[in-house]
Amino acid sequence: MYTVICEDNLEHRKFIQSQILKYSTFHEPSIEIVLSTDRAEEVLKFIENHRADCYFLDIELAKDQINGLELAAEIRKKDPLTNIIFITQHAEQLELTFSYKTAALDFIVKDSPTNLANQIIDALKTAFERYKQLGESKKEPFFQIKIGEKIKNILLDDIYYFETSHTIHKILLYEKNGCYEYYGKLKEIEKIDDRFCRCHKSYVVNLQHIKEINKKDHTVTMSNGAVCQISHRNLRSLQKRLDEYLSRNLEKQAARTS
Amino acid sequence: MFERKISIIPDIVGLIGTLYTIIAIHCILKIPITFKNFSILVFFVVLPSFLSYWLLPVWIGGVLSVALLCSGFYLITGFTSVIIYALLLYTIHLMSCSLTEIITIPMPSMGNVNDKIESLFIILSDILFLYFFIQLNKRMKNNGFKFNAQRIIFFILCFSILIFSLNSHLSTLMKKSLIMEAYFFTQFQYLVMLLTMIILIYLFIHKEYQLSREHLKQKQLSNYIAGLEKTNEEMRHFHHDYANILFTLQGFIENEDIQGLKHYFQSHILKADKQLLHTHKAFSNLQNLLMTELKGLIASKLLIAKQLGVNVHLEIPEEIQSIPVDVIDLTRIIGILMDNAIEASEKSTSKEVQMGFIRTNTSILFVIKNTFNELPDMNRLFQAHYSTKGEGRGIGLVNVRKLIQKYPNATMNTRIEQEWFIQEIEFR
Repeated sequence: MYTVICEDNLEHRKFIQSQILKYSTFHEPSIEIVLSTDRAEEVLKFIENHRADCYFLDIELAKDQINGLELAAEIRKKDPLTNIIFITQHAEQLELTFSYKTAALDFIVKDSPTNLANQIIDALKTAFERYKQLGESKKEPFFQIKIGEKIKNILLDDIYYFETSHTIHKILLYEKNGCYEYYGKLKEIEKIDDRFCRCHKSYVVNLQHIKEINKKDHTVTMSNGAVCQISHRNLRSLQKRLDEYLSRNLEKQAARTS
Repeated sequence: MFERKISIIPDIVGLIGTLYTIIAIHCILKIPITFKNFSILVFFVVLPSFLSYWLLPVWIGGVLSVALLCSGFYLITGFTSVIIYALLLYTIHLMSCSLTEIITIPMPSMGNVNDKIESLFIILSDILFLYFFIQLNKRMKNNGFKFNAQRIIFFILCFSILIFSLNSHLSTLMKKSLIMEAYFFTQFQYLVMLLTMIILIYLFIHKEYQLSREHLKQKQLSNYIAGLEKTNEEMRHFHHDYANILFTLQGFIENEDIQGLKHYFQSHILKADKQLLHTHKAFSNLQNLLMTELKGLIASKLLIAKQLGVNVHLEIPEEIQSIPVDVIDLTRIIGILMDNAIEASEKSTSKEVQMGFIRTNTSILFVIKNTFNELPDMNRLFQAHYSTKGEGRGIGLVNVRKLIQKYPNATMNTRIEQEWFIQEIEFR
């Protein structure tokens, strides 16, 4: 994992550098510092031709250059998925702004040295975790929703169903931990994975989470207790898809156990 | 020349009017069609008014059927506003009748065919007017239109129905072309007058709406100022305390009691500083919010939160001039969400609320997160009466959803992430 540091306080920079090096030699040798500088311009020059996987940026850079937030915005333009970690001196953090505007992974408050070291290691760990995930799964089992500049990953397993909103073009997504609204079309959801089935003109359900199908009322109850409608036309096909899905899953399980 | 009747077979026109009004009200107010409603309408409204058209003079029949319509719908729904709708729709029908008469009068007489053409005309223009009416109704609702001019509208409608009915009665008596022309002239004049009246009322209501908005703005501004004064006063107190603190510190230093100094500094100064600066910081962050109505609202909520011991962290890193949503709706949305967040976090151990208005490249994002004590059930959160606050209080979130639904440019997420309950609304 290539790492870049931009911090104009020499002492702090050295400290961060040494912490990262220490961590990489003892735990993750693939972590490597490719650039350590006090000038934002150098980072800008670097991202023209190269890319890194993790950036440590000081927010309050010296007056004559752009600040860390603007630098982060530039980096995001080139590389929307990279990890950005902010370093700040002030306790009155702009935590929400960091995460929604530049989709920052974390931020570190310059505090006492032990605290600072812990924060650096923690941030580095999460960054590495994400880096690994990105590398492993080309086809992600996630559904992604953009909130501001932040990308929220939702596990497909956690999704119960999709519903069209009362206003056109808006879709409501119901999952284990919440409810999201985004702009899109129900038609496109079925293409993501075969576990999603369109059962009504305004519903797409996750076959995994079907608890029961009520043929009389033309409804389907999900495992969270929510009730979706089924259109007459799709009742049979839903039943068929569900049977197929379940038998396929059984096969998979059997294959795994044997 | 003017041998034919001016008013076509009155009972048919009257029947069209009654049926039209019934159908239109059902369309607009979405009254469920049950057996009881149906029988009330048929036996109490449609049949008697048909009989009265048939047996009594036209104008008595007209007034009687309108009265029947109003009382019939009042029986069904129990709302007085339904009477106004009935009158309005009936006036619309009368308008289309007189319009039809104006159009068809120059046509050559062809006996029965004329009557059919006229009824067709009436039905067509009825449908057309109804469409405009529904559109207007939607607009008014979206603008936060309230029926507070109810009485004026009521009188105008009664008045105009009476005049229209009398006119149609007079027209059956008239034979000479000169009076005929005069009659149509007055009819047309009345139409114009009515239309202007409606426009005037609309403008009047619009103005009233704007006034109420101004009023809200004023109120919120004074809230904001009150909040500022309060924090200002606290700052003064703090300055006063500061001097005392420095004296105490001096004591520690003179005694060279480093241990005591350390303890005092950490337990007293850092703590007091943080608490006070928190609210102060939040208030100074409000500066970037250039919408007065919201400023006041948030300021007053910040004060409430402070009283309850809840730390509110507010972030507005860039100036927010406007948010593309009606201000009254926006204050309701943010008010409800802040109330919920403060109330829920008060019961939690850490009592934290974080909120922010963040401008991104394409949108403005409002985020509010709070800690909580009792995990809410996600599936029931948006149902009408669910609340962790106890019985009968959980209408807040449903209302927020409903308000958001009105705007195609706003989306809302609700979720739980570790110890945070998070709500995000993105305005494009």
